[in-house]
Parts: sequence; C-alpha cells; structure tokens
Amino acid sequence: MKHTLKLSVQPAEGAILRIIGLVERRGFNLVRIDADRSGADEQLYMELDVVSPSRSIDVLKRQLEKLYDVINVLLLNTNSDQFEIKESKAC
Amino acid sequence: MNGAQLIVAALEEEGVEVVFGYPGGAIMPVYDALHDSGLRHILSRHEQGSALAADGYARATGRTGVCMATSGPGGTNLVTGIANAYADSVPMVAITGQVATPLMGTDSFQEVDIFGITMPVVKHSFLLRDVADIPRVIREAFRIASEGRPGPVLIDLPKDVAVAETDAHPLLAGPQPAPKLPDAAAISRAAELLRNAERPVLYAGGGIAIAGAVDAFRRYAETSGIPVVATLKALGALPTRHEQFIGMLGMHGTRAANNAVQNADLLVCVGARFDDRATGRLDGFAPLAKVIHMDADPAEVSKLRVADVALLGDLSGTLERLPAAEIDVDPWMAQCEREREECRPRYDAPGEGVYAPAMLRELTEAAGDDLVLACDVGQHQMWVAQHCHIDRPDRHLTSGGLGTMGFGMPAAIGAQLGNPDKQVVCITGDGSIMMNVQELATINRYRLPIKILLLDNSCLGMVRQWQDLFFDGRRSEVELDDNPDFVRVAESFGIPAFCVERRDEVPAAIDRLLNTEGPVLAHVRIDPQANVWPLVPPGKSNSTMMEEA
Ligand SMILES: Cc1ncc(C[n+]2csc(CCOP(=O)(O)OP(=O)(O)O)c2C)c(N)n1
Repeated sequence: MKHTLKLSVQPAEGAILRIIGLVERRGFNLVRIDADRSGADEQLYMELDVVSPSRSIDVLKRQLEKLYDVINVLLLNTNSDQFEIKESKAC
Repeated sequence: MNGAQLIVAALEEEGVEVVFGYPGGAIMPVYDALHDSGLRHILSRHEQGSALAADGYARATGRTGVCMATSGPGGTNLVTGIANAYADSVPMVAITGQVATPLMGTDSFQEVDIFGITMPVVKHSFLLRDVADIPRVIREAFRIASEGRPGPVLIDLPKDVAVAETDAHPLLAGPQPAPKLPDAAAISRAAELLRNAERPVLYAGGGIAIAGAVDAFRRYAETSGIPVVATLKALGALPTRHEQFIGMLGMHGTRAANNAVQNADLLVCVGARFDDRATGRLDGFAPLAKVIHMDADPAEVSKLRVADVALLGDLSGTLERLPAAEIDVDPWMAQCEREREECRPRYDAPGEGVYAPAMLRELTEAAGDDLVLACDVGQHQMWVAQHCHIDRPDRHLTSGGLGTMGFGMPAAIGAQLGNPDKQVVCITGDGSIMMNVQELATINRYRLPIKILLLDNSCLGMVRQWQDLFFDGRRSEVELDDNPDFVRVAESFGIPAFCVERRDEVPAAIDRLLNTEGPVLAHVRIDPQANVWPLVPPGKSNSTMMEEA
C-alpha cells in the first residue's frame, strides 16, 4: 500500500540523506521524493511516497519523528485525506 | 582560545573525566589541547578499542562515554564500536578529526566521509563547519546521547575549525527536562489488563538498566509477585538468584522461562524490544498473551509485536504509577518455579577436564559483591549468562545487539577506569581475545587490575556448534589449533599469566585469578566439543528447544 508522508525539517547537514536512508533501511521503497527549501522561512519541506508490502507505516512515522532534524511528520491518511498531527518530539 | 581548546573545555564542562582515543594528523590540535586540561586520556592500541572502552565505561557507570580518533582510518576503526553502542543504546560521544574544510570533497589524504559512513549507526551526528558552533554542538551531543533512549553521537571536526581562534565559551548544562510519563488513561487500561490476567509474566529488557529503573522494577516485581524473565541485557534486573526469577528467555534461555512466556496470558514488556534472539519465531512467541509495552522509545511500540497497551516514557515513573495486580498469582508462580527447578542445569559433567559452566558459576560464587563481568562473544558469553550469578545489570557487560567479538577486553578497561574499586573480570574466548588482543598493552600501560579468564576451546566454538547442528557437521574455518601460546602472549605484554588444564585445578585457579594483585590472565583449556544447551534453532519457535542429546 502506498502512503504519503509530509515532513518539515531543520535544514541541517545530512538531513535529507538521513531521512531517505532511514526510509530505505527500514524496508520501505521510495516511489516519489519532493524536497523544497526555497521558501522565505528557509525550512526544508519534503514529501515522500513510500510503499512496503509488510511494514507498518505508523512505526516508520515514529522512526522519522525521532530524527533530530525532523520537526514534524504528517501521514496523509490514504482513506480519509485527514492529517495526523504529531503531538510532541519523540524521546 | 582555538576550536580544539574550546572542545576540551566544553568536555570538562560536561563533567567528562576520561576520554579514550588515539591521535593522528587531523585531530592533533585536540591532542595538543589535552596538555592543559584536566581530562584523563586513555591511549588504546586500536581505535576500535577506544570506542568499545568508552562503551564499557558508559555501561558500567551510567555516564556518557567519550572516544576520539583522527580522520580517515582512525574514524573507520571507530565504526564497530559506535555500531555496538547504537545496537545496545549506550550513551556515547565520538569525536573524529577531519581534513580541513577546503580539502573536504577533494579525496585528500586521510579524507573519509565518516559522517556519511556512520549515519545508520548513530543517534545523531554533527559536522562542525564553524568554530562558533562548538559550544552548542557539544551541549547538544551530550544531551542527545543520554536522553530518552540513549545512543552514540558523532562529531566530525575539520582541522581548520580546530585551529580557528574564537572567543566563544562552553555552554553550561541546563536543567534536565522532566521525564515524560504515560497518560493516566493508558495506565488504567494497563491496570485493567493486569486485573484480568491469570498468568502474567514480566519480560525485563535492557531498558531497565539504561533508564536507571532497577530499583523501581524490583519494587514492582516484588509487590506484584509476578514471575520475571529477562533478556540477555536485563540479567540482574532482578538478581538471578531471586525466587521470582524464572530465567533468561530466548535462543539460549531456560526452558522454564520460555515456557512461562509461551503459556502467559499477559506479557508485561519492560524496556525490551522483541529482539529475534529473545522471541524466536515471532508469530509463535507468547501466542496466548496480551501485551503491555513500556518503553522510552515510541518507535519500539508495535514494531514487531502489536501492543495492546503502550506505556511510553520514563520506566521508573511508569512502574511507580502502575498498580500491582490485585490478583492471586501464587498458583501460576508455583508452576513457573516448579519448571525452573526441573530444568536446573547440572554441573557434574563426566571427565577430568575443566567444565566451563561449572567454573564460571564457581567464579561468581567466590567473587565478592563488587564483581563486574565483561564478556566477549560466543559460547562463553552464553555460559556466563546461563551460569553466573548476576546481581545487577550494570555488573554484566555484554554485547547483546551487535554481538561484537573483541568487546570483552576494551569493555573491561572502560569499566575498570570508571570503577577503580570494583573487581573487573573479563571472560573471553580464544577467538574473541585475538580481535582486540592489542588492548593487553593498554591494561599494562595503566596497570589496570583486570582479571582475564580465557576459555580456550581451540575453535570458534559458537560457529562450530552451528555447523555441527545445522550444516551437517561440515566444519568450515572454525579450527584454531594454531593459536599462539596465550600465557606467553600475556607475559610479553607484561601481564602475568598461568595455564589451567584439569578440573581439580579450578578452585586454586579461581583463587589465584581473583587474588593476584594487578592484572592477570588465566588460560583455561576446555573441551572443544562442548556445546551451549538448551538452544532454540534459528527461525523456530521458543517452544521447540533442543536439549543435549
Ligand atoms: C567481529 C565478529 N566476527 C564474527 C562473529 C561471528 N561469531 C560469533 S561467535 C563466534 C566464535 C567466537 O569464538 P570464541 O571467541 O573462541 O568463543 P567460543 O564460541 O569458542 O566460546 C564468531 C566467529 C562475531 N560475532 N563478531
């Protein structure tokens, strides 16, 4: 099943690699990547479409939230188009 | 002040006392700054030894271990130690020298992208491009390494940044953030599951020691009366001689512990992560049980086994808030205890040769309460877990997640430097000791009173056992009959050593090992055919344990 993740990211050294590397290492295939840092706030925004035959997207979301450069992860709920909002930084 | 001096000052500000490392070109400014600092630098003889010693120091003291190395090969030599800390959630800060920023990306001498190489095995990493960032980066590195679920943090320091002048000052450590706790609704859902359980089991994991939650765990276990099983890294969370302790679970666990989990109707997972060595075949693990999962790391919940209730946050605080079950666990406890007694190991193996499990047990019986065991990896590591008395998890240092041969001696060095008054014993094998044999020089250099028990079966025993059991006995590259004379090896490093060949020599050997002043090595010959029993074959359920034929 395909999922879309939207991330806002602190533009730090290696942040993009860290995110992409984590997604692939945790057993997901990336089918689309979009990254944009051209906005006035200089923040990095990423959108990832990922698929996995077996792994849980919720776990991937929590693994991404643990990255220190990642400010926020939204999981585009494929059924209802609703966003799940992250409450607090993972410990 | 230059960048290197600022780094050293910031380390002191963090309360660092000992750093483990090895110098070289790119990190020379930091080594120069060490001259004028209060830091004690321990020179290992290979950067892997530095990283693993920092890891052992952290495990034995609960403080963040620090290691450093130069660029290129210095950094790559650290990698195994960093990965080891990552796999076992050990707080560590690793500092690597890097070529000057104008040279980075030009394939210059001793340039390696250590930031990139270590990315999958660090909790976080920094590349210091600006000297003004040093105070913030050091503060952040120590905070990240130790908070929540700890882990290693790498700081890559280019040489031009290290020599740049600055008037910045170290940042003072701020107050610790209040520990996070699970919400009351989750606690009451967990309490509800506990109320309705008939056969609950506490599944203790390495997170208990990491979170400093041993006391809270013991209080909860004792007031609830629930039987306890432990992973390799949680041994000692309840003393292994405690009446409620049923055993280690998993591949080389006890039948009683595995049965307790298989029959449980509620599994209370405390800081464990359903590792495959503990669970065996996952879909056959605890098939009847609901799961309460306590962890500091939200990403562990439902990663491998779906939790019915997740209690996220500080383990001590969680355990203190969880009501003890108001149920009668006595009949269930009695059943678990009965099984434990039925599968007690025997120590009366036939023959005259040294029986390693018996020797290890006698060693921990003879040693005092202040014993710290640092293990290497292989059969001897499992025998320690199965047969030694372990009273606290921070007294049993073992490479659980990565299974790094060569961990034992450096870990013992770190543990001894962190606990000068404790008795540190390194249990190693003839394969493992050679992985970091050069650290005998470190033990000698600082005259660390480490006792080394080398169990020599003239082979890579654990691999030999698997080849015998699962590859039709086709032995491939496991015989080590050309080992050096280990007594002479130790002596040539300035460490007294002696040989033990027969069972009747064991009591005197233990006495000599524990009571020799300074470092000493006992080279013990054991049966090359001895196996670790029982065993759950790889990929099988924990209900299918193989016993000795
Ligand atoms: C660095 C490293 N390489 C290879 C292995 C695979 N391995 C696991 S146990 C083992 C044999 C260990 O031999 P030894 O230290 O003599 O201990 P024994 O099993 O004989 O007690 C090997 C090769 C490992 N765990 N770590």
